[in-house]
Amino acid sequence: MTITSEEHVLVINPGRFSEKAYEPFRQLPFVASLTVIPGIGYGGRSVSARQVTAEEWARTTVLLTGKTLPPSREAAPNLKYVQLFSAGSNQIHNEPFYKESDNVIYATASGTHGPAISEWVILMMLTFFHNSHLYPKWQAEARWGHDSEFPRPVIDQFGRTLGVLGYGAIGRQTARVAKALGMKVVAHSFSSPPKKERVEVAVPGSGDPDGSIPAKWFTGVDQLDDFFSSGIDVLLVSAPFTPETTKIINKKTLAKLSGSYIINIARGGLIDTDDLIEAAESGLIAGAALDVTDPEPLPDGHKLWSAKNISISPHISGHCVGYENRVANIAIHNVKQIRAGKPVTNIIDKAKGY
Amino acid sequence: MTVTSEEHILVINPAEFSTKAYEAFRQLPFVSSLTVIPGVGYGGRSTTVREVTAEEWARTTILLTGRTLPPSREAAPNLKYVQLFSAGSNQLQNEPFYKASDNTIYATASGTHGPAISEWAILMMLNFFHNSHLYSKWQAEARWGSDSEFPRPVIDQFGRTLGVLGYGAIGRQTARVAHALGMKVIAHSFSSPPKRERVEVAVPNSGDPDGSIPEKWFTGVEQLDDFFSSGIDVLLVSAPFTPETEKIINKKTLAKLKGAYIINVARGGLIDTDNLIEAAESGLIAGAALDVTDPEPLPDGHKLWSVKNISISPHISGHCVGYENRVTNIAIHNVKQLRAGKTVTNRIDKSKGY
Repeated sequence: MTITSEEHVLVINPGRFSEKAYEPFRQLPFVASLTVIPGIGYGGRSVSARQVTAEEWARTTVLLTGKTLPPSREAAPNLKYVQLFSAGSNQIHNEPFYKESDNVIYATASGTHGPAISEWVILMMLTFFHNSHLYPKWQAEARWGHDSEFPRPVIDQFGRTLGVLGYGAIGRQTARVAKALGMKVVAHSFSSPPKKERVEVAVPGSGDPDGSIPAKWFTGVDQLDDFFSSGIDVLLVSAPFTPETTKIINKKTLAKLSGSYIINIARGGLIDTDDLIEAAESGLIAGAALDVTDPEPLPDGHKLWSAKNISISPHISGHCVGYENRVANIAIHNVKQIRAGKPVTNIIDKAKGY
Repeated sequence: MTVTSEEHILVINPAEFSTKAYEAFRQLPFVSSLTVIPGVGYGGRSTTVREVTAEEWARTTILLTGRTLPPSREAAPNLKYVQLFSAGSNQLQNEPFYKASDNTIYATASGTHGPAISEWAILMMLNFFHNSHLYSKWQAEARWGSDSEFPRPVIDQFGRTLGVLGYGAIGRQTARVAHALGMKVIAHSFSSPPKRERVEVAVPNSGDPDGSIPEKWFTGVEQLDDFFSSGIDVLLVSAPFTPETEKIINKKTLAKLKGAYIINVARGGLIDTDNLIEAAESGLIAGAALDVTDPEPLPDGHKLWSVKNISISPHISGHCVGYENRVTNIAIHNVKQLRAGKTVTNRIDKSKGY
């Protein structure tokens, strides 16, 4: 890895992200140029205001992008670091440039979503168990309602168990809040031995840096059954979407998760949709909250929309003000690390897919 | 205080509470009898299935009650300890027995509500800032919505400030969760010097036992202005309702709380309703979540029901399964303390009113 004396940074900005977020990057002494191509539209549906020019591809050493990569290695010979705006990287796995560029470091935005998505998880869990969906109904009717109208009695989480499937930034920040709520946490990690430490870069001071929150750790495919059977009251699905995790929540595992509330913020494909609907309708599980679905987007009128005790939001749990600032934090940290010959964070292991 | 060799316990049980919760009490070696009079109805609107007999009043040494007290001191000469089911004790202040019985110890259920009500406060805060009220709307329409439909951009709480007015069990448990969410906490206490320690008895290991979570403490009436002006993003009103705190949130204090989101779990009377409505309608404050109102119950059609950015629930934030078990924890702890000549927890100071 050649350390160039100066960096040329290109930001293909998703729609709605501020351009000011990259000013701290621009100000760094080793940054010779920083170009932002604004986006139009929103999130995954945004497009760029213009194409990247051949000259821009040619000089770029550091790229911040949602999914757009250079057309070929020849077009971008100096590109050494690619920072994604998402925690997942599935969107680039089949791109020619990604498959061919062996000496380019790719990093995800893992960690940026910790606060926003963990808050969403906690919010959905508490909403379900407090029956708070009834408050706006009563308020719209301008009347003092009554808990005799609740579908089930309210319970709080103190003393209950949160199971975290995939103990990354989101899992850890959720575990941190769950612990404050008085919950016991059990964690599963596919890495064997599990990587207990994880110091957050995007949001310093968050998460579970030394991995001490879980009362119990489970690792690898072989301990999945034990994990699912360990008395989980609320399950957070926050693992990467890989061949190993596809439909990992299915009829068999749901039977072990009897009575639990399932929350998915990872990818819809980790859950078998039909099995989930059946488990919710039959009362096998308490219910579910999904910010991701399979299929996604969930088509209008799909039966999942009306399944009993299942709440759905349209993959927006991670959207929040200041998100791009946190992505910039990671990129700045990593570029400094690369220039100093030190390890980067959030690096995608191409063999693993995340 | 005479320590009798055996205790006779009378439970005038609010309607929705289990009678089994008191078995742990009945089993204690020094408990000679435990009588439970079941309730009918619900909560504040419940009544008992029968009256307390004269014989029962005469022998009772320990009483667990919502609001019913003996008709006179003569009727209940042995009553030494009264355990309330509520954190507030306003309902007793004008009772003849309460005013006359100087050597009876009264204790509130302060602490039992920590988990349920702090969850409610966190839930309402996250619900507002995540615009999650729209999820169920989209789901009812069976369509994949977009955050372009949000009334305001989503923000997370990491790095923002929670101000806690009244650092009791609920304030502390909320602070604990807020801290895990990455919030900075500042607290105001009317006790001068502030009582920093508070070890929870109803829900052991909850709250903030050594008072170390707040980065800054404010005490007494004289520091209220400084507290309100210290950059609070979210204000939790969790102080007792006393002449000192009545309408403490008013036009003047709201001006200092510019931009804040206000959450009231205490009593409606701590907030001037008209001033709050004006502050919300004008955008001076971000909004409010109220589980208590003035007047209460809020009459059908009252203008507060339809105020911009104000959410209301009908004083149910503290209702949850297992509540009576937690009240029993306090009573058991205190009776043991009394019998050993030690101090009790949650004791009502008649001169302060709480």
